[in-house]
Amino acid sequence: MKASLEAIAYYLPEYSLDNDELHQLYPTWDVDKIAKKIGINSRRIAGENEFASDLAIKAAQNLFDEYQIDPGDVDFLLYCTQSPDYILPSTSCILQDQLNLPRTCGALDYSLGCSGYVNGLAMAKGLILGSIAKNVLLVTAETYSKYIHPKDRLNKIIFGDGATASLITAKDSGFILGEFCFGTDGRGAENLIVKAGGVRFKNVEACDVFDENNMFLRNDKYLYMNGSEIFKFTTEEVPEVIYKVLKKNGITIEEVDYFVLHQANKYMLEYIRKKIGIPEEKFIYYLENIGNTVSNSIPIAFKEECFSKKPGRILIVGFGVGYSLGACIINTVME
Amino acid sequence: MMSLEEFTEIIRQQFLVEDRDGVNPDVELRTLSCWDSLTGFAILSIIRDRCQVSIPIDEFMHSKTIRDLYFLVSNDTEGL
Repeated sequence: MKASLEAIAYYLPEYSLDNDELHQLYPTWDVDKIAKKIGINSRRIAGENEFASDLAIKAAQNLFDEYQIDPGDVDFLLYCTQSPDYILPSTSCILQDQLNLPRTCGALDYSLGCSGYVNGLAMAKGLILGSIAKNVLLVTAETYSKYIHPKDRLNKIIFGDGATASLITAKDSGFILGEFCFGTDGRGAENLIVKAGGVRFKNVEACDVFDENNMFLRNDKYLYMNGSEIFKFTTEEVPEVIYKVLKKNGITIEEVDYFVLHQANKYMLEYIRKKIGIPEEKFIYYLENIGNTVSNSIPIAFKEECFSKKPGRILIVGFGVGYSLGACIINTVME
Repeated sequence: MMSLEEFTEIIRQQFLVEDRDGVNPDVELRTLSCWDSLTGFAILSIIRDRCQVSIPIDEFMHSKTIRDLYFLVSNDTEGL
């Protein structure tokens, strides 16, 4: 028996923040110039009283409705978020109740960002091949917008909120999960971080820090991203993990039909594409109207670009906060 | 050894196609209207990838032109 990525659905918040609105917020900033470069024209933002778990429930309900899935058949829930409802309990326990999943099912949260979906697929595969579960519901949900400081225009233009739900089942056909490769480097932890809020910096007195040009740099209560270091990590490590996962699966780069990388921003993705030499027609971009949706970006792009076309072999790569990265080959096997 | 012209072309490729006209060895990069931090990150990365030289960010910030960068990379024993 193999593990098959059987279904994907997603939910995006209603409110769309477009570049015109960003220009009104930051009138001295050439929003169009940077937007063109990163390939993002609008992004969905959760409402003030709309949280990641709310988005997660809607994504899962979309999955159940679209694919006629009985929630009672789910025997394990994996929930990837860095926007949990509480420190404790795990949001996955709340989701189990809200989604009417069986009380016999396992459920856990895990905190990863842009590599979260690939890591989740790996855990789902392990649960299935280990005969621990037959139907794993993998949910990703993120509301980074709630961590972005009002003066932080760069992160505001990049990130969008959303949620996805995927069903991974024990099956020999469909999108079969192949071999995985991972990478972790905690030396980069400080380069993409929300410092306050955990127990180590619980009651920190944070203040705004600006650079010599009076540009907002950081506030420890909000998301901080060291763009230079993240770019360096990504352009160095993502090609390496791609080469490793190709080797582990015994295939060449030419034998891959589609490359679905985490949709960080178009400029950085283009750098990686050119560095590895991937043809444009095999390289997926899906961020123009949703932005960088963190752990949601791969399943959304996969759903939109791969589910109907059913390409033979797909390579997916997630990378980011941690640092953490993961890659996998997905093989389409017809029934 | 890579020439200044070849090095300039590699740097030019990091700009969007429509922005490449004004990019030459002696233009002050940060005065270009198309300049932004992302381009800077890409230039650092391409120099690392193509020349095997890691330029520290503060040295990069003090380099105004492509010629300055070429000088930095040329002076690195493993560069070019």
